[in-house]
Amino acid sequence: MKFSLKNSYIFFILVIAFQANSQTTTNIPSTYLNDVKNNLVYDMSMSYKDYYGSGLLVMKKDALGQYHGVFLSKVGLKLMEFIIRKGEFEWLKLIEIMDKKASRKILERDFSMLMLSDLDYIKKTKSIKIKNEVEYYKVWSTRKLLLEIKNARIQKEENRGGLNLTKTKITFYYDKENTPKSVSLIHRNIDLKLELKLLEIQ
Amino acid sequence: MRYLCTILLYVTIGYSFAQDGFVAMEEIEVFRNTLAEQTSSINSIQAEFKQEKFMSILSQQLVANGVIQYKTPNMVKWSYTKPYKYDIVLNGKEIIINDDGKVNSFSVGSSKMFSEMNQLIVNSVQGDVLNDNKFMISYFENKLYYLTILKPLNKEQLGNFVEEIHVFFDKKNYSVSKLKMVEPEGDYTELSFSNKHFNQQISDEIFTKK
Repeated sequence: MKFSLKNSYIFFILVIAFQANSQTTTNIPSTYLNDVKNNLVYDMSMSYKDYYGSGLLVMKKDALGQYHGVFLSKVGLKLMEFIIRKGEFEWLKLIEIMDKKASRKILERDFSMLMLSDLDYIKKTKSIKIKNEVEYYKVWSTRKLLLEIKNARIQKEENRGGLNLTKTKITFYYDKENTPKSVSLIHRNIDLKLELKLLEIQ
Repeated sequence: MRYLCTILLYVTIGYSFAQDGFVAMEEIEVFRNTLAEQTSSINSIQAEFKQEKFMSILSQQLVANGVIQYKTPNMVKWSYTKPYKYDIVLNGKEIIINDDGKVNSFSVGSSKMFSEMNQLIVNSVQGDVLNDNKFMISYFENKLYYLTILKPLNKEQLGNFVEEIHVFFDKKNYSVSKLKMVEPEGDYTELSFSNKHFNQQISDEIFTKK
């Protein structure tokens, strides 16, 4: 095949089209914790079957790939504390009742996804579709994710891939700011739901 | 090195106490007897409280306010009003939590940790905490307060959550003015009580699910 100007042009268009469809650098927004000077505090409620409980979730991003979170009861008892470093989850404190392999695994995924910490190390993304101004992306990072993005904000996030019996689905709700006012987290096959409301503190 | 760290720790603790003017209490037995005498006539307490949570993750402390009501022999209700609405009732049999309208209750005995915490709170508010043999107790005082520092002897239960409890008694009337709960990692919660009223009529009904 002769390498004509026309063929070069078609090749160039194909490369651009491919890059648009599967990118290593994209317009995927980073975590909302980037916009926070110190820390965020959410009033977090948890419902599991008939049980309902609540506490305060404090979240902070210390540096690229480094996150710190604390969950405490409203009477001040610290129940969970963790650090995420470059995708690696480390528990500093975890109450005995939750300190089981299966619970830890779900909690680690939920907290990482809540903080959007996986978006610090995106390996590849793929645009799926755009519908009603919402962009749908597949993202390969520390874990495989499906994101819905609107107005440069993550609206929905769910984990994908593998045997995914307890998939986590998160919806972020905003008003004018880039910090979510509230967040809802549900799981597939587990009747466990988390609701977060940004706490207005003095 | 360990020896040096221990010395530094004692020097630091000593310095912070010295800043508030706290020195070792001389008349411990007199204090204990007077406290027992003063608190024996109390059958109810109502006070406002301010809860401040200090954690390394926070740039400034988390503050919550509310009202505490206590009635003999062992009924306590904490009503948080700001920045969230949250009631916790300890009535000796159950722990009742009203979380912004959603009510949960469970037996005190179902959780050893909560049971210990229940006992600690009731005893602290009542000023009876010094008779609890689950703690090693140190005694200090300054111009305004008697300070007792309690260290849980059983690390299995309360010790997982609390390393030390500092109870500040007002020298004027021996009532608890401040409680400081220090966690093993160094973070702590401070509860300050104000506007205290003693022996006012409090209905038993507020300590139930109704």
